[in-house]
This record gives sequence, structure tokens and C-alpha cells, in this order.
Amino acid sequence: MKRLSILFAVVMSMSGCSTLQESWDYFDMARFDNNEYLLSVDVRTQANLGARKCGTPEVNAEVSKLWGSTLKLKNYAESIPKNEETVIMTSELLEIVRGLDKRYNIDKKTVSMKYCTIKFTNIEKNATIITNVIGRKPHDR
Amino acid sequence: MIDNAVKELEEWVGNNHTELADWASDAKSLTEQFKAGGLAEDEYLELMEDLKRSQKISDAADALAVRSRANELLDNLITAAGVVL
Repeated sequence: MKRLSILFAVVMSMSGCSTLQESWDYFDMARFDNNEYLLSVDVRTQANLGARKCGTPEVNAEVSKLWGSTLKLKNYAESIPKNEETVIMTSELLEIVRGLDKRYNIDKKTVSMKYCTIKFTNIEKNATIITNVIGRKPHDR
Repeated sequence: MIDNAVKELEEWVGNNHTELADWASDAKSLTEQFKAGGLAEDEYLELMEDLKRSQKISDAADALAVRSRANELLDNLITAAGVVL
């Protein structure tokens, strides 16, 4: 009983929550999901490959693929319960990619080389952060 | 006006708070490239907006990392408690 009390106290202090319900909610989270992880790796890889096509006619197709991969990741993350942080991350990333897709494939504007490389670099950097943190979600035992 | 903003960014780049310094460094670099004519105005504005979005991604990633770690610790505590109880 004493050990259980200690465990309870540790749980409350780890979560920083004032009530048992808040503590329960804090620890009740989406766990590691193979599909979600793979989709995030796809986005990261697609951003890496797309950056190499800046300034070439093939870049439009790369941007379309990146848009598709990012949308798929966001939609998949949204379908998992208790997955709030991942939904925020993937939604923000999708908005970053939206600007790129709009410029290349909707407005069909002239795009500077600098914009293209900065944009892809930024997307890859954020996709790496997302992939790493998704990969470290608690695994089922 | 943009020169004042750049001066302020330079002060922030030297800030001890790493996250803030990184953000200021990125913003300063974008502003310099815009002033040098390497970026169109609409491209520059979009990339500056992206910095805010990137910050939100970092904040959510930090929150998720802490929550995941806390969960793993709890799993370990429960396993250990199961062994000794």
C-alpha cells in the first residue's frame, strides 16, 4: 500500500496535474504507430528529394507528391484518438507545404531559386522534428 | 523601419536563449536575402509566416516528447511495482 501511495504521488508530480482526472488525461495518449511513423518518414524523404529539383521543370511533380504525402500524414494523424500534439504539428506542416503547392501548381507563379531551396529545407527540418518525436512515442508492451 | 527591425533581430541573435537566437537568426537571414533582391516580397512574407508555424511545430514536439517520456517512466514504474508488490 505504501508503494502504491508513492507511485500515485510520482504520477501526480510527473504530470504536473492537480486532479486525478487531469493526471489520467495527461497519460492517456496515442502510442507509437508504425503507419504514422512511416508516413512521416515519407514526408521527410519527399522534401529531401524535392529540394534537388529546385530550378528544374520536374519540381512541380515533386511538390505535388510532397503535398499528397503531407496531407495523408495529417489525415492519418487526425484519425488516431488522443493524438493532439501530432495533429497540431502535421496541420502546421501542411500549411507550410500549401504555400509551396499553391505557388507551383495552382497560381503557377514564377518562383525564385532561393524561395524553393529555403522552403524545401524548412519543410525537411520540420518533418525531421516530427519524425523523431513520433518515433519516440511510448510503445505498447 | 526595416533597418530598425534588423537591428533588433541582431540583438536577439546574441541572446542566450538558444531557441530565440535561432529564430532571430533565421528571420535576419531572410530579411537580408529579401533586401538583396534574392526573394520577392510575397515569398519573403510567406517564409516569415513559416517561421511562426515552425515554432508551433517545435512547441508541440517538445510537449509530445515530455509526455512520451513521462509515459515511459510510468510504464517502468508500474512494471517495477508489479514485480515488488
